[in-house]
Amino acid sequence: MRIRLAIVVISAIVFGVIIWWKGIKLGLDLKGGSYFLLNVRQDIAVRKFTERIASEILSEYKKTYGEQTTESPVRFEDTKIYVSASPDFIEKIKKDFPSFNYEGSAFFEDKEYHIFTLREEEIKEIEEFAVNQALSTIRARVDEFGIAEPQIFRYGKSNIVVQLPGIQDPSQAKRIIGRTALLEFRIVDDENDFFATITPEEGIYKGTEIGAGGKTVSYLWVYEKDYEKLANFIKKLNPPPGRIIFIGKGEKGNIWRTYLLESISEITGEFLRNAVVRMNTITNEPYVLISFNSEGAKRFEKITGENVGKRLAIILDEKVFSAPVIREKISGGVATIEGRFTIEEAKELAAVLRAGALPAPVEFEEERTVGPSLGEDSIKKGIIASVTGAALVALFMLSYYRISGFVAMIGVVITILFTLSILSLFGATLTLPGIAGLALTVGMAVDNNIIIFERIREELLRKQVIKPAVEAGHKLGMATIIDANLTTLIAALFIFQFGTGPVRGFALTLSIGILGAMYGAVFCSKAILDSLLQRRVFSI
Amino acid sequence: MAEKDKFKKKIFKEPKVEKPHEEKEVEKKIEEKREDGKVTTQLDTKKQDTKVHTTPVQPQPKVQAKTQPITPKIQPTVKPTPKLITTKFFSFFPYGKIINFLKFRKIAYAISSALFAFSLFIIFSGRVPLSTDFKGGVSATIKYEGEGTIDIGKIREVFGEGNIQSIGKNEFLIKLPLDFVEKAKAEGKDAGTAIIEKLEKIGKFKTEKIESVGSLIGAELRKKGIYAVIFSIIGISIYIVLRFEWRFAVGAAISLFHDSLITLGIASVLGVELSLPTLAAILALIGYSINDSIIIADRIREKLKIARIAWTEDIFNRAISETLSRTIITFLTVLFPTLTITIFGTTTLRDIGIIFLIGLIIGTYSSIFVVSSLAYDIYALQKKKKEKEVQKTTQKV
Repeated sequence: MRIRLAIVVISAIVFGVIIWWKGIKLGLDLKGGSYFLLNVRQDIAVRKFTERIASEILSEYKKTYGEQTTESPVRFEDTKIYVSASPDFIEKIKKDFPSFNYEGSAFFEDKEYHIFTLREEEIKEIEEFAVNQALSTIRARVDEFGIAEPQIFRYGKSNIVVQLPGIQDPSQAKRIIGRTALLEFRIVDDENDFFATITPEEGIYKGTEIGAGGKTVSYLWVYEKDYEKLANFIKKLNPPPGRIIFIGKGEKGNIWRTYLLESISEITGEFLRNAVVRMNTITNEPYVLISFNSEGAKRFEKITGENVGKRLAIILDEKVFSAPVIREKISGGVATIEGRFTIEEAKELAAVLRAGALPAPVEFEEERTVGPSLGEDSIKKGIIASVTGAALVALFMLSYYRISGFVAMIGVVITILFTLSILSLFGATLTLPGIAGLALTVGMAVDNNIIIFERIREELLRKQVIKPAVEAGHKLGMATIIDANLTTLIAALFIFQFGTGPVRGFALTLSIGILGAMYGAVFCSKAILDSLLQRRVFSI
Repeated sequence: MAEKDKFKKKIFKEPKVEKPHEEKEVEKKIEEKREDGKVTTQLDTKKQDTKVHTTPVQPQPKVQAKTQPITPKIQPTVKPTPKLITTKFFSFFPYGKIINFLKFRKIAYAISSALFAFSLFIIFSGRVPLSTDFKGGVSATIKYEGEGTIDIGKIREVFGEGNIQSIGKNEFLIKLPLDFVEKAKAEGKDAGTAIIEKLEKIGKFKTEKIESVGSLIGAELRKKGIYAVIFSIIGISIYIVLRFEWRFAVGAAISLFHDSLITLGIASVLGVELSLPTLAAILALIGYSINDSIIIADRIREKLKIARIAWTEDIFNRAISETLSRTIITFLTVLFPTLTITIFGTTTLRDIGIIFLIGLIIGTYSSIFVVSSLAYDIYALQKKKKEKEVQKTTQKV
């Protein structure tokens, strides 16, 4: 008996401490928050699309003509693809890629290239898709980071507005929302020792390493602080056709270095199925384990199988993370991203990868602090309404069930503390409808007590003896309560599993509320009731 | 019988302390009173408590609560010690009174069908007013160009409560529904000028930027949300089939659609906009309504188990009547906050309040008059069919 009472008291204190310690964010309607205006780079989305089609044409070309191509037969710029091939092949492209218009041919570097241009309506569609896709990706990302009750909506042609409640430090939010999280895999070109022919500027150094097939290849590097210098320098370089220069961290992590890669990436993050954080038990560093869907796994198997001995660069947001040598064909569709992250960084990366890449980079055009969307008066009235409502329930319970009613209200207070504390652990946000919801929860949480109390009354009429009646009332009432609560819980969990965004947040709150009511209104109330009964204080 | 004995043994603790003679008698009498074979009492054997019970049982108003209504004021059997407060209590619905609820089921079906058809009409004819959460609209950044600073409250007075936020000194972000744009267009103005004109009363404003905005919930989210609700109703039904009876599952599933759609229909007629918070309120109602139905179903199941007889209207009526006081009290405890929110709350809160008020009434009504009636009627229909078959076979013989 004492133990149960002690549990009641201690748990109430623990819940209180958690709420006090974690705090509960107030929603956009009550307190305002951060406002971001994002611009989706639709032009880049269009370029990426062109690049993908170019990649498909290239692999088609390789199928038709074999692998031996040092000169690239397929090149592209923003909305144009240049193909140098026989008329048969060109006809095939015209047929296979109807989203491109054939524009005739022209000579570049003494070679005839056929020009294909992306159709206007296709461009519009890609632009539209980019914004809508970015919208759902950003929603998914915000969802990954708790139930924050955000407001995310499309604004005009290419903009997205994101409002997040009460964020003190917008940099994390910006990191999460703004990261493209575009994952690419490209083969490292060790055949052309391109950088050996380059004379670097001052402050840029040349290094050598052993590349594929034991060949010595050169690369350029700078100290960590000189990233911009290297980035600007490589812009001036003219990589060989079909090749592209990327920058990545050096192996020791303290320098930036160049990589010469194939310009067409064969596999990207769109084939990703999942991403999780794992610990490397040897180095004790976290890494991100990614798994591909079936299409991605097939592609990954193919690309690794065709390039054994070469290096495969793993690129995230246009920076090379690592470039391990492919030792054998990798099937099964899993890969790891290693790169000296802290555990927090790894978690962030995994979450962002799970939510999916943005179809195009986004830029932060505006960043502001916004005030609450509801007026002070409305907030005040809303809180008064909720408190009065809860108080009326308490008053009613007290006058109807007297001492037992008082005990029930203690149980309800514990229920609310429980719900709020768990919600605060989830990083939930309290909005005005949320507060009203809590008041309604008070009304519904007492239902558990009412079921039991009514049972006790029935048993009292039948048995006339208090203690057995109380016991019987609890026992019979419990069966009902479990069934009733479990059904609601099942409904809530289904909504949580299949719903998204705000509906999900609601289902979570409901589930926690039900568990809280089971604990507060059943276990705690019973403990207090029993202890009072022992002291012969009872009324119902 | 053997089963019953086993049950008894499990429940009853062997007395550890020798009890005074009188008390044993009391217990015996109490045991005798268990008319329906419900053996659930756990008698306390501790000395300090037993004191309370030592007074002999007085002649009491008939305790056969099942058939005879009892006045709420009952003479306590036990003379309480001063600390112990008596078991006298007031109740809204007299314990033991039985109302023939199933009698009204034909009327209930008629009312429900009419309301349901009406709501479906409202919903599918696109008469549900959607808020900007669902529909989108326009969003404008406006700047106050007059003297000093302007209070955001004044702008709220012009456009009504809603999405008006301050974004810096004298700069505001307002979100307006599509209707506003359409109205402006009909008057031959663009939305920007319409906003400025409306604000003329309170001062000089400039629109900095005006763009159309998308909904908070895209088509994809809406689809997922609908799936979520349907899956959850299926989930509930499976649970009810496993724990209760498939006939109750049918009744419950129908009533969930019934409650949520009728609430949405009536609320739409009253002009309540469907927004994210009001949608959440409807989901919460589903939880409330299923609770109500389960509690009645549970009582029916309990009665059937004890009586070990086939379904009868009487058992259903008893179950509904016995749980009626719980139904009323819980209805009241949810009603209180609902009323205060409806009366004191503004905009969203009032909408939530109205939705809850309608849903509360519909949900309580359906769990009393519809759910178990439906389950019973399915049973009755099956029984009739069976009897007919039996008749046919006997006729053939």
